Amino acid sequence: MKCDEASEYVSALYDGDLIPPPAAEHIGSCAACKVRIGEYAQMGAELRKVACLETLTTAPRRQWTRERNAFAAYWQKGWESMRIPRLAFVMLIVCIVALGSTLAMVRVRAHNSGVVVLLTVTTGENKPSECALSTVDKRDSSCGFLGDVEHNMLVYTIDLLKRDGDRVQLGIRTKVLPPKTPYTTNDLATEPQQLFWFEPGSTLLVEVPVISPIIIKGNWLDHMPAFTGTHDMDPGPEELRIVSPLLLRGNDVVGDMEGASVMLDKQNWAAWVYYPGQGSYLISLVRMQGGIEAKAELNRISFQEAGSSCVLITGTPISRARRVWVVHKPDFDPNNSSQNGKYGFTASLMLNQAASGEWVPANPTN
Amino acid sequence: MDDAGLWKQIAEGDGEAFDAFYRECAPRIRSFLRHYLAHQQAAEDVMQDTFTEIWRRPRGYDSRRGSLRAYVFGIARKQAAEWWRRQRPEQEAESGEPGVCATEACSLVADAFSHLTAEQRLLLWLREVEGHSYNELASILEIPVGTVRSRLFCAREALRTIWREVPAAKGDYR
Repeated sequence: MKCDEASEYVSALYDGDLIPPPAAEHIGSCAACKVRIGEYAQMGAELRKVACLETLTTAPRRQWTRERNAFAAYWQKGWESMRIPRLAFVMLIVCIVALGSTLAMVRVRAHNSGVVVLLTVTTGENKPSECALSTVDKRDSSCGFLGDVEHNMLVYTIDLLKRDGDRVQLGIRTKVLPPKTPYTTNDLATEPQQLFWFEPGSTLLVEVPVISPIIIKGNWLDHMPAFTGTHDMDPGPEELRIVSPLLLRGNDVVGDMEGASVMLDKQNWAAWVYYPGQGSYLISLVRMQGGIEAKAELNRISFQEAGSSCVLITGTPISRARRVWVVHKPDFDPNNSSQNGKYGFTASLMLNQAASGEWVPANPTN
Repeated sequence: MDDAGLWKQIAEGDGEAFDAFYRECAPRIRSFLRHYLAHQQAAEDVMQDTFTEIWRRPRGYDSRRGSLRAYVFGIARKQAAEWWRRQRPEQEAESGEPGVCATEACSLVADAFSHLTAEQRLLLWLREVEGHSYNELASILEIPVGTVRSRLFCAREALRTIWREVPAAKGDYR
């Protein structure tokens, strides 16, 4: 054997790998190959030296907390204090889902960032279900399904893994089980994941044992829908909807405008809500002068005011935006306007942009 | 504690356990990313993204398939690949930064190392500095073990060639 033929084995031998006897024999008797091993060792040592110097810098301490929604906490509390056998409870849940279900359990949030693929997934004879996957927000890049298909129970999860131009890579896990088997989509994590490149507009067939293939179609969306399958609930691009607004300060309900609503579809307008005894609130998608930045999630707007947590809860999804601005005027007196101060109201106010770039009411309120 | 036990704690949301793990591993991940990406700020960002991702979605690790450290390097590599994908092609050439090094021999190797391709830097660093086995490298890089062996050889030869030419080596070696 010559040095050229043995050279790859020099690297393997240096790494402690077993190599063929002819190569070992050559390297043992070849001065050039020994020099090569020595150089590899020297390079390795120098690299480790570089690394040692660099890793002297410690990582700053970070606070690691996981967002935990109220439902999860409630669920866990219930689970821990359950008085009936848990297996029976799980069976009950599975039965309910299996009996009712062509239902895809898809949790999505209303927001306006990024590009979304809306998949329409058909299983067996069931009605198609929808699954919206974000290409930019990993929190919204997966969905799952558990339900009856052709006398079996099908469970699947779809993860959007990456985007490449006009196509996306989907990771799909499936499992077919006997009907009413206690199982959740989380249990699928240990199953093998099949990878598919999918181009919205085309059709993807996913072979599943025993039952018909899963048929996946899809389209691009410019936003994450508030709800899938119920598009009329989905706010338009510049829409702001305040319907039956209930105002909480801390744990107290301080205002309730049941039945009143204001719906806007232009950014340069603000929703105007007056609660007797609480003053008026202007809410807008644009930054208003003196406004507080607030978080908008589905049907609630959360903000801090004078050390108190306030939440405005409404009857429908509010906006695609995740933040809005709120101006509170506690001293607002409707008797100085066309409104009657005994009653609350909702209305709309046009805004003008001030020189500072912030927005102010076109007709000032008191 | 073994990797499976630690992972269980992390999956259950034990912030203190994860912070200890983070503080132990983060400098090594940062150093690896710094040489792989050749961009200090990006290395810091990708390192933070890596741990945030693991904390947010603690799933996918199987202690039967390898060490937790190898799993974290695998996630870091994927995050780094995503960073590469978002960059313009010329970014790599623009962003080369010298290693932190005190001795002349050390800086020569660091300089030679910076002229390797990103994939070569990745592989050599994980093998020489982090000491990952061929099987772990195959798992991290998602390539067959035989490919790991041949690519390591190519990377070593590339580094050796440049190193021997240093300080003459100035251009990118491909």
